[in-house]
Amino acid sequence: MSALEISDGIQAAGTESAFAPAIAVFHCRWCEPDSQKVLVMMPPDVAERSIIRRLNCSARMEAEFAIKALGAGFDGVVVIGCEMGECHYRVGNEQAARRLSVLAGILALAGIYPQRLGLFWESAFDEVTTRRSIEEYVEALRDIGPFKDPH
Amino acid sequence: MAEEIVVLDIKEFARELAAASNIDLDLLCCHGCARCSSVCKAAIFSESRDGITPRSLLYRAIIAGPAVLLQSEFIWLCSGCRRCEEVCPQEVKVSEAVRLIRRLACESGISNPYAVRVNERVCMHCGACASVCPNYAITIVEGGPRGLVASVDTAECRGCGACSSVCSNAAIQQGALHDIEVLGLFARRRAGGEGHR
Repeated sequence: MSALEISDGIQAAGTESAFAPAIAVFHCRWCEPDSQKVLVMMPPDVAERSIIRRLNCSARMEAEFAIKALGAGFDGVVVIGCEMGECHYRVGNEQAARRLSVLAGILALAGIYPQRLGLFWESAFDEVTTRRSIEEYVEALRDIGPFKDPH
Repeated sequence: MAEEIVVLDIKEFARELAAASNIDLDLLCCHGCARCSSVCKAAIFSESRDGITPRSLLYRAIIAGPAVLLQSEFIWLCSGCRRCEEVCPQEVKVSEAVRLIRRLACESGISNPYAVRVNERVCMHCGACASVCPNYAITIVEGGPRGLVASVDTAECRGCGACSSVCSNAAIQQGALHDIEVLGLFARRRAGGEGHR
C-alpha cells in the first residue's frame, strides 16, 4: 500500500515537472544522413512534439528559420552540423557557426534565452557524443520552460 | 576479344577526359587500393542504389560504359573536397575527373538535381551568394531586368545551399529545399500544435 503511494507520488511529481519542449531540428545530411536516427536520440515525449528537417549542409540553416520556428511555438531550435574541418563543402559549418552565434547574441538582446538555440558540431561517426549533447540540451530546455514571446 | 574492346573503351574514355582537362589526370595509374573510397563522404553516405564510389568510377566505366557515370547520383553528391586526391598514393586526380564528368553530363542535357536556381526578377545582384559559394559557381553577369544578375554554373554547384541562406530576397533557391517549404512546416505546426498545449 505504502509502496503504491510512493510510486504514485513519484509518477505525479514526474508528470508535473516533465515539461516536454517542442524542438525544431535541422541536421546536415553529411553528419547524420537519417532523420529518424536523430529523432530516436531524443526522449520520446520530446520527439513526438518535434519536427526534423534534413539540410544538405548546415550552411543552409538561416537565422530566419530559427526565428520563425520560435514564433510558430517551438521552444527550441537545434542545428546539427559536422565537426569543424570536416565539412563536406569545406567551410559550410564555419559559415553557419559564425552566422548562428550572432543570432544567439541577438536572441539574448531580445530577452530570449540564447540556450534555446542549440548548435552541435559533431562527427558523423560519434553518435554517443551527439546523443549526450542532445540529452543535455533537452534537460536544459526543460529547466528553462516553455517559450513565451517577451514582446 | 570482348575484353580487348572493353579495355580500349576505358582508355579512350580516360584520354577523352584528359583531353578535356588542362592537367594530367593519371586515371590509368589507379591501383584500386580504395583509399579514396574510404575517405569519401559522398560514397559512405550516398543513398543511391548504384553504389558508385571514387574507386569504382573507372571500373564501372569498364563494365558498363561511361553512360552509367553520367546517370549516377554519385557525381552530383561529390563536393569536390579533394580528400580522395590527398590520400591517393598514385596521385590520381579523382575529383578533377568527377568535375569533368559533371561537365560532360551537363553538356549532354542531364540536369544537376541539387543545383540552385536564380529568380532573375527579384535578384538584386548584391553578390552575397557569390562571396559565400565554396566552389565559386556563382558569378554576377549582365542580364536580367536590372542589368546585372547572379548566374549559377550548374556543373560546379554542389548544392550546399549557403547562397540561399545569405540571400536577403530569397532570389536563389535550391530545387530540393525551398525556404517556403521549411516555413510551411512551422505553419502546420502552429495550426495543429496549439491544440496540444
